[in-house]
Amino acid sequence: MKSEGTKAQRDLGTECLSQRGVVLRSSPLCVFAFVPVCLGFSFPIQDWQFWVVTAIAALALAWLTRNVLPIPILSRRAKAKKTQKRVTLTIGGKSPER
Amino acid sequence: MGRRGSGSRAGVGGVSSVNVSKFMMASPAQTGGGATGTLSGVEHAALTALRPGQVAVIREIRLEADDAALLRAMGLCVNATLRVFRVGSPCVVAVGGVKPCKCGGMCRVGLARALAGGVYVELKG
Amino acid sequence: MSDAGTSAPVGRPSGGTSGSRDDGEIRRIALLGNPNTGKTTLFNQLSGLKAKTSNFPGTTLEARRTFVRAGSEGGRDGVLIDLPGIYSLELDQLESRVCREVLAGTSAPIGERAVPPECAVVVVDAANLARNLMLVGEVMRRRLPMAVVLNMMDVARAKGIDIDPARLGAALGCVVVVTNARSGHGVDGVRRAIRDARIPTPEHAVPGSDEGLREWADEVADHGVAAGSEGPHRDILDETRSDRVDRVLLNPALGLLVFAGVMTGLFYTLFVLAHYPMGWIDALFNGNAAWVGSWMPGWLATLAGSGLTGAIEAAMPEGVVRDLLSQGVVAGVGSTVIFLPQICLLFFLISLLEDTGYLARGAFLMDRLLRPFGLPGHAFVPLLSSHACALPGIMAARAIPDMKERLATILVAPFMTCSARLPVYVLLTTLLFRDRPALAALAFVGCYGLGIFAGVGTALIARRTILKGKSRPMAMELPTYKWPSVRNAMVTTRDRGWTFLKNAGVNILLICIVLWWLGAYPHVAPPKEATALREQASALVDSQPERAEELSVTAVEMELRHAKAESFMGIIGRTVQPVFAPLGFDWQLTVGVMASFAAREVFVSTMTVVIAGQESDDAAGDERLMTRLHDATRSDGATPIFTPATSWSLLVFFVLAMQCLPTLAVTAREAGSMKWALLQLVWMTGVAYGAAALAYAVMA
Repeated sequence: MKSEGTKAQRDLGTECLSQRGVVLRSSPLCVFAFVPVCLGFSFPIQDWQFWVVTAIAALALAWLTRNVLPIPILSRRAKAKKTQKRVTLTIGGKSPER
Repeated sequence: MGRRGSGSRAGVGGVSSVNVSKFMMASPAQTGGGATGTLSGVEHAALTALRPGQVAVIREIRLEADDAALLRAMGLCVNATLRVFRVGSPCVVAVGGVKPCKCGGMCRVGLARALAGGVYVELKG
Repeated sequence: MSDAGTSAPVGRPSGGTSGSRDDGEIRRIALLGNPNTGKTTLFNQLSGLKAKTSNFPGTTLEARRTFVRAGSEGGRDGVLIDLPGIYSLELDQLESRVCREVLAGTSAPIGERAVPPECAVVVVDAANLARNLMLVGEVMRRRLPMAVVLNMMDVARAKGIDIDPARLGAALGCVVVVTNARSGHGVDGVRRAIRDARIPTPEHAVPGSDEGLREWADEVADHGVAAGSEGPHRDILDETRSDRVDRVLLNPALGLLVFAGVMTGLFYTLFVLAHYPMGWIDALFNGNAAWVGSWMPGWLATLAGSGLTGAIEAAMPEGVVRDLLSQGVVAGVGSTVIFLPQICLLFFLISLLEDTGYLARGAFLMDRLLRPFGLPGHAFVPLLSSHACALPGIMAARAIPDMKERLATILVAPFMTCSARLPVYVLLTTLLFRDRPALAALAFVGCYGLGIFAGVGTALIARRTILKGKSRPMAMELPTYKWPSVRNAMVTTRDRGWTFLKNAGVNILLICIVLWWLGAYPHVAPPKEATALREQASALVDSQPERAEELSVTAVEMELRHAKAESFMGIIGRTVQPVFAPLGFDWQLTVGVMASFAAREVFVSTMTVVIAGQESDDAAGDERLMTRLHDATRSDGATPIFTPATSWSLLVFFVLAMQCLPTLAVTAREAGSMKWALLQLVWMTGVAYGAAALAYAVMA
């Protein structure tokens, strides 16, 4: 629960870090924090800014690892595979082995 | 950046049908592996045996095909005149062309010792 | 083997009409010529410094192209493609193959359609006409509309060589124009020549054989000499001024001495001159109180005093988005841009040196030193460039003709001490030799030496094992010494700087964002000691405000350290710490090392936050911060983190480790396979680990 420090503390800039954070609450967004919560991690999921920075960081990570990711829109390897075509040579419509 | 055009793979191996037919008749084993070789009775020295300031005519290039092709493309061909400016590595030569011309031909080529050792020349008097 | 000796037409109608083209009125013009003919200088003149750079497909050869306007005299606009400098189209080397394919229309720079060019422009050196005409003859065999550019006429005339372009054009059966690419004289004539290009009708047909071609070139060159010309002032084989200079510069002992002096001067100039723009960039991102003036409006005073970081923090409301922008994005951009002056300046100076003709001599001098390690003299420029940044250095390895030698150079280039390592060196040598700057400087130089030693040692091992093969001996034309072209140097600098920003900058920015997130989450409750300090501060805020402020600052630092320790970054650090225990690293150092594996730039800032609880990018200049780092202790509260043994171990690790994701990406691309990048990572990490462990064991 976010609580504000005294005016003197705000003036001095000495508000506790945790007083600026938001403790886990029940919310539709909780579903995204299910796993980390189970591991004991605390995320300020009520804070919209948390989701913005997390999305940005996730996109950054996806871009950095795009060469190994199987996501077609990002992966160069997937794009290269997509443009490759398998071609079978025939002679007069018949396979050369026959 | 950097220099392109040196270090080549196998190239063409044409030789002049006018100037060097007598060399084509010679035994390829005659020149051996030493600093000198004999072709048709004329003493030829490897470029590495020359001293700075000496002028010579190239008579034979005994290198791998790709190295020889590059040297030819740079002007170091059979019957080309050259002057040695520096021996060792690099061996620096001025390449003058096959026949004298008024068009210049100022070209300095640096050759590693291994390449210079495969260029056989006849000293010009 | 190519089809030398034939005059096979390439299916083009005479006159160079486009006919079947479906891309409008754009012509494709190929620009080619021997090396050292001023082709690049002419291209830069025609391009007006606006050129696109890409590669030829399937190769790492750089392809530059530019849009050329037809001009007011009619004709069509065109795309001028700068082909690699070659001595012959018929050589079985990559550059010649690429030129053949472009002229045949089966290849084109990436981004261009592969169609036969409508015009070929061959640049020839007027002072070396006969040899250059051999390439002209080979192009003529391909029956393309063409024009010949006679460049460096001023140099030729100074030597008494007078070429009549009209006579030469009559002998060749095509347009011949005279230019001085360096001054720009005659460049408009090149545009007209392109417009008027036609399939040549030489007086004598170009022979099919090599010997025939040579004789033909000699005859045409003779014919091109101006009537009444007496020929060169001196015999073509006479010693020139360049030859006399070469006696000194190529001397085994004196030459190396001069070379060492030139390189020392280059690096000294680099560091002295780059210091100023680097300071300006640092001030732009972090502010400089000395820049604040009373006349400034508030926002400008904030920007000047606190930089972009402070301006963002002042302009935006408190929150993690603001923190991401100021600590992630701005820090990420800043940590890349701050190296741009060094990189640009190094390439500018290298380009100037190359243009003088000295680097060709330097390559031969270095060939003697590098050849025993399996590296060619050509590797010298990439390895030198890697001292600014390995990224453009690895790209410069494209100039090495032999594939195995090129791979060896690419693999060892990151061993060279790059700019990103310097802040780490400064931090650690300052910690080791706090009041002994001479020893610190010596250690600094030692780091450079260790990197070079590890690099050539690795090359030797590679060339005896996985890259076994005979070294190809060097053969290179030695250009005449001349004054360098500043314009060319600036174009090269712009291209290399942009490559660095595009490849390294984007990746480092994204890495900084990810690292920021890992260091910011998850949130944890502050430590009890910090809470107690805040309560004390609150109680004293009215009676002893200064004491209260001190306590508050200490509490904030404590909370920052704790937050970093409990973040994902800290958790990773503590988990991995046992791996680095033999090197003497505790979990805090491990956090810094792990973070810097993606980008070395983040090490200093990560360490100062983890250990001192403060942000600083200038640790060496911040005395208080250095004292804190020096006095910082491990978890036991007694053992210093930066013992001499640990500091040496860390220094050796950073000299040798592969800690740059953008470099790995470029290695994979230039070497043609990810396996080389992975090999580079594993080998360098292994060498760094072993050497650091040895250093720790010896010094402990």
